[in-house]
Amino acid sequence: MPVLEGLNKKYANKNVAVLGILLDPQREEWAQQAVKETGTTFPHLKDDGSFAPHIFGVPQTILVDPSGIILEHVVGFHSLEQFGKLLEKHL
Amino acid sequence: MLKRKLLTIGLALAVSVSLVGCNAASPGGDPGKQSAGNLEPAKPGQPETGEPGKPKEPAGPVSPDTESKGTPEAAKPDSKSANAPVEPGRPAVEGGSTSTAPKEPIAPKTSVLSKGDISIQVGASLPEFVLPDLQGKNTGASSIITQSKLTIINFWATT
Repeated sequence: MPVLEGLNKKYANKNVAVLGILLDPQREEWAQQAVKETGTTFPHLKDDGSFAPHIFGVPQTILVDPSGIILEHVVGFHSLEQFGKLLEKHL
Repeated sequence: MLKRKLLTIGLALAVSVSLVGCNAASPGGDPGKQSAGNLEPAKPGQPETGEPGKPKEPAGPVSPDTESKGTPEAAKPDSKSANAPVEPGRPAVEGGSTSTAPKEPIAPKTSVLSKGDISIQVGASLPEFVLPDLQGKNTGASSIITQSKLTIINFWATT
């Protein structure tokens, strides 16, 4: 989460958006706390069950272009540098 | 014997009269139904004439509004010929397109991402989805994804 917030700040001026999707909204209180603790400023949407069946293991991150095409799919934790490299490929 | 003949004749006459009476009565009933049938279509006819009249009534108040707006605006270009090209342009925007203009940007936003099944694979197209954020406000994916050069979507859970 701090890595994503770092990406959000670092690439905000390059028109890169960060969006979190919370897969277990039934634990929203915990999520609210996690968001507060990590100090993320990007939006988090609560999954209604449409994504959860497609996500095997968290965290997972995808990179999409403006038409919604998935460019990258990353499973697991990665550093700011690793994500940065992936982003730069498509910027 | 004569009495019997008279009786049979009398019976025959009575039967024939009654048969004629039945024949006369049965056709007499049909015209009665037909006349009743003729009355029924006449009743729906009244609402039919009333319905075309109703649309005219709402149409009536609308046209005076446009006319009342139109006449002062139209009068200005006539009096000021120099400002005429500018002023007719404004009423066109205010009157006609303002009501339709807000609708147009909304429609593309929801339809930019095509609807379909979710497939988290490189090369797959993410369908449109609308989910509430942590503040409970519904957010459409298109409003973020289509407005950004790249969107990083992170799936996470508290556990």
